[in-house]
Amino acid sequence: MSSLPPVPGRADDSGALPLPEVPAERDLPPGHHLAHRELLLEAIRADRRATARRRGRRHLPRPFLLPVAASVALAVAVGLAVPGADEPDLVPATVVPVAEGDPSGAPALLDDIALAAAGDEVRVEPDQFVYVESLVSSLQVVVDTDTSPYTTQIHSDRPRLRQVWTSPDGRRGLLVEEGEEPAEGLPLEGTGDADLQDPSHDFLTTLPTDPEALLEMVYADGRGAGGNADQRAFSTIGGLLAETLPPPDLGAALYRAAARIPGVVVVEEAEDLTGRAGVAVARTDEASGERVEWIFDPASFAYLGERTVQTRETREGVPAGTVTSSVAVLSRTVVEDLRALPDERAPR
Amino acid sequence: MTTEIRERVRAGDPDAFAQLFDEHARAVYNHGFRLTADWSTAEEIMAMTFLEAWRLRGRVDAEGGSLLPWLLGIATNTARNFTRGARRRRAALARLSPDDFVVPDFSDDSAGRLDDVERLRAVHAAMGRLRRAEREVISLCVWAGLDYASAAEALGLPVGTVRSRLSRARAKLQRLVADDPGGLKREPARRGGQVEVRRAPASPFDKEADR
Repeated sequence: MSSLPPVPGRADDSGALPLPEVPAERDLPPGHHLAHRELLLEAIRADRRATARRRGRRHLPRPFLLPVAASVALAVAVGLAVPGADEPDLVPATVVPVAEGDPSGAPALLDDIALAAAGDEVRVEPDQFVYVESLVSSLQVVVDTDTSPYTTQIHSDRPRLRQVWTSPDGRRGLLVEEGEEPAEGLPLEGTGDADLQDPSHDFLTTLPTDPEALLEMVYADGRGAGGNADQRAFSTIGGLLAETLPPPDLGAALYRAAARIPGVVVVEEAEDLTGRAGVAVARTDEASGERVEWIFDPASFAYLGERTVQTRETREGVPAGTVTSSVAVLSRTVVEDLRALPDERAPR
Repeated sequence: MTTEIRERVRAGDPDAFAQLFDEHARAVYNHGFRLTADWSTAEEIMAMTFLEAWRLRGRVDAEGGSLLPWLLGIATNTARNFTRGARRRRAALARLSPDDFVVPDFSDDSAGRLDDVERLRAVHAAMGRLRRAEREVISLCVWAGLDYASAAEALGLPVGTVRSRLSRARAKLQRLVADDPGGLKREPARRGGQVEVRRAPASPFDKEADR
């Protein structure tokens, strides 16, 4: 059985590569459709009666009990826990002033960044692991049903720690992210293949360190994938810099390649998820108004992280300046084993 | 016609909810399953989604297309409540116990359902590298077949965020499942009337082009 066939004109029709198939859709177990339908209508009728009785009162008591539907003995407490202001995993979304980007400053800044990146070679032995530790957060829009009328709240995940260990060949690894299951971490078992969208460390060492050749490869990788080619190239390079330990020559070349992408600007004031102030190299996707910002230390030009800022209000009511995702890199280095931490924090 | 059902849903017409349920319960149920890999949880999510839709009916726009994206968005929020341990314990969550239903024993069907669970768990394992937000976008855009705008509506996110999350997620996922021995990788079904666009064989690194 195959999963739902892709439907022309839908999102998955963008020249999409095959994705893992999911099982074909199934009906509810026999009899359950009608039972649930009856429960739903019973709940609706009960709510209408209750509302009529309580005219003038603002809030429904929560939870209220649903009458037992004929032949189906079920007590349903209606009173849904929808993440709201008291949601411990969410914090209000960050909204920042949208500073104008400066296109003229990008090449010079990226050159400084490239020079800073071109330091000593970091060698990763086959039995060692690249370790990257970051703080991550994404936008979550939730509906609060505790208010009347209901309100939409623009939240972000509470910033959480993400730790990734990967062997240089990409075959072994571990991901531990706060709040995600399993708590002890998810083994990452790669195939040993790698590409520009999911690079292993070994793969990175095979890439050209000539900016022009690199740029050509990046654009070729995105060809046929739809969307704005320049934005895609910028995003691909961003991906090669994030959660990796790029060889210094490659890092420098990636920054020099990015400097050649049309539309890349400097944003003078950017802050990473930990609050570190930086200067950003950025590009706005005109179609969506999202600006992807790579943030660097303004003095050392070290890479601090990446964030995405919505530069104009969306139809969905997400205001201009909302940070839709943010990643701050806290540590990236080489360690001896899975779960091992950098030396200074190893257990004594 | 779709506008008409929107108006009736907004007005709190019970018949409109019955119609909504008949049309979309199955899709919501399967979406819940794909998010959780658990049929019982999927059934709870489905039931809660429609109860929540009733509560949220006033938020429906008078104009627009199918209400399925809206329902799938509610289901996605609901599924989050189930997949996070802390929230699972919340007493306030509506509880339906599918055990209370008398289920005829169709053993073929039960076996099929177990196969589906295993299959989906393999997909989820492969997707573990993705962030939850990325998994949700895959689930809506790829498996439930919503377009970007509908998925954005479902999640309340900007369209661009949906697009970029999907693009990043699918690129990661693609490679993670490429050699999966469980048969996750299949040639895509031929798309009726559609020319399949493939990436140009551009570089020796572009292994996708050879598929």
